[in-house]
Amino acid sequence: MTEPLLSLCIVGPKKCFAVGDELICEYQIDAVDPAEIQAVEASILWHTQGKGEDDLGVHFFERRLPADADDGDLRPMRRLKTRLPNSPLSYRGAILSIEWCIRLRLFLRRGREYVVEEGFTLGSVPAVLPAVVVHAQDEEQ
Amino acid sequence: MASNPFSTRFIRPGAIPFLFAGDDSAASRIERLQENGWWGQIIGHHGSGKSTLLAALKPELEAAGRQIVEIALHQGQRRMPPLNRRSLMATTQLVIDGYEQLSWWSRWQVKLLCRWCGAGLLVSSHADVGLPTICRTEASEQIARAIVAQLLGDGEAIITSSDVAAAYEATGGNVRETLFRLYDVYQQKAMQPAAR
Amino acid sequence: MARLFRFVEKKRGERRTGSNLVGSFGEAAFCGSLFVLGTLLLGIIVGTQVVQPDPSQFKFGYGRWLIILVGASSVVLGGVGLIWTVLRLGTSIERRSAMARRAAESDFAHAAAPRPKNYPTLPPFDGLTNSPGIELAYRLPASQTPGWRLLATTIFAMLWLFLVFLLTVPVIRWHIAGRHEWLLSALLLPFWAVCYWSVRSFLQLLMLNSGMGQSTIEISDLPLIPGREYQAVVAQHGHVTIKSLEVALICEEEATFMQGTDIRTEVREVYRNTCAAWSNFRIEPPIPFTATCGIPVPANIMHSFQSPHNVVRWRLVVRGEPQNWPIFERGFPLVVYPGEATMHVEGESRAERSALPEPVVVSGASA
Repeated sequence: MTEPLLSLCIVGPKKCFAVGDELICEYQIDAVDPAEIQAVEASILWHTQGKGEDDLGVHFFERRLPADADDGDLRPMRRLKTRLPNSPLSYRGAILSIEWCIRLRLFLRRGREYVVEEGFTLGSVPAVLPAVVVHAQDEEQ
Repeated sequence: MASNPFSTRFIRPGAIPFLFAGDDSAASRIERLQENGWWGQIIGHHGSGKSTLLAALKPELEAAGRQIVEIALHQGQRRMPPLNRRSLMATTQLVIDGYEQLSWWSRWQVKLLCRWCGAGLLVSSHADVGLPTICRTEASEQIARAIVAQLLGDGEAIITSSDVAAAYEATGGNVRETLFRLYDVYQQKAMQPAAR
Repeated sequence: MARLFRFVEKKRGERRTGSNLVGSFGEAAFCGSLFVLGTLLLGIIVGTQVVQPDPSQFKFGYGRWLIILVGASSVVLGGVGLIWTVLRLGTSIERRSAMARRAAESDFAHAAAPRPKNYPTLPPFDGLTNSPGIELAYRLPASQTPGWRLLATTIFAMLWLFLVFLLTVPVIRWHIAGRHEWLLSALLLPFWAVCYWSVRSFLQLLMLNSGMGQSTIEISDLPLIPGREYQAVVAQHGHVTIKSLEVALICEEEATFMQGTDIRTEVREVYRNTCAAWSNFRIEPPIPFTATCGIPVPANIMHSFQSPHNVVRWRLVVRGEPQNWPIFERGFPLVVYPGEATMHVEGESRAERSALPEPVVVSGASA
């Protein structure tokens, strides 16, 4: 059985956005029988990464079922638009990072699930240059 | 810039496969568990891979027809969370990560409940808690190196062997802390060229 | 008397007739003595009537109940008084009044402070702006009460003292009766050693918290916006000579990891700027050391951020090095909003912005 092909892209050349900019993205699904598709979820969200547990916050969310499409086919290209919020800004810190992305999740019959992501940057917070870290154990030694 | 490969999403139990030694495998451990009536314990120090091994055994348990009820206890959690007793039956495998946190009374209650229902009990603990030992996890620098190699993949030479050795020694053989320490090392090395 | 016991001091305008340090000690000594007396009385009752009672030797009759009542009352009054004294250390009269008012009118419906409407991932700052300052707009609350350690030490010392007295009285009684329990007496020695250590720790912490006094900071505005400078008034109370005192603006990242049986929280400082520093001065009560300084907030910094397991936290820290006292550090939380410079992308011109929609969901679960 062939794997479905998920295409997701940000419309336009840039990957760095300012607060309040309009983000337009498109997605399309190929190489799968439309009858196999149970649902498609598209979300624009931020998530953390680093030395702590991953947290996330959803800014835009859309779930579509076959009944929502004109002919029950969720595969054709779909365009999403949203205005980006004023926080949290993208951040690359010493022990945690905040990253924005568009995420597409495809649900097929028999519990199969496929995910694809496209990252982008919100704002222009400079990255934190990590200083030389002296751990407590080093100091005791 | 790419993600730091030592972020928690990449090193949490289940994200890294457990490295079995020699001919050992998840299937052989499940066999041993079955021989002991589906009761057993995994013993090991902090950061030696107990939770990772439990995650590795879960698919084999499901393949063996066991219905897993999983409980992860955190520091200071002396009592069991409420259990739906109707969900425990002969095919149930109660998996408790951090069993040593429980008070003696809670442990007695858990054992009694599992015996009463005929359910299996698989626990992880820092010390012997009186169940048949399925596996003893031990950390080693070799295992730490193998995990780092898996995390870095091909072509990533940012972390060297001496970095791994230094981190392992500094953390007293705790593999999880070694990986956290290497997070900082990777961050420094990866960021410095960008700053220049 | 007014100097020794705070509850008999007089207020003359802004001045008080007593010394905060001496008054604290006096109160603690009074309450502590009451507690020890009550413990001793109860210990005698337990030792003579409960542990191997010998009615022929010690017959109290109805007086026994009176002694129990007096002893128990002394223990309760002395213990509560001591804890109350400890809790009041380092708090101003305004704060005590606010604490009492807050206890009296607890509003459970609004127990969780709502976050700023347009910034759901920023920590709420209602708790920072509900205390007006005297010279500037807001008085910042301290991020941790140093008194909790003192409170814990006090409770431990009291309980241990109580236990030791209960054990010691019967042993002494046996020695007096000619029945020498040397092994039991020897076993009591470590108990007395712990008792000595706990009382000593309590007295040291009491001195530290009394002598050092509180640090307060008032600030001209909240929340902080990157690229601007704010005014702050720093006040340090106490009865000490200060070798150095500094105020710094710092930023910390905090990440909590909860996998396996570990709960691991790491805090990393990523920004520090010493805004002002002073050295070699003496603080004499009742007049605190007061100074004004500017707090510049850089334009291109990360704003405050709070999610279930990850935090970017800004605060002002007062760090002091007193003579003959340990170094102290007290933090005052701040909230920093996103700044104009970081909300844009470098090299692009500002576009017109329409009203921003509110974000949909903030979740702590991993996707």
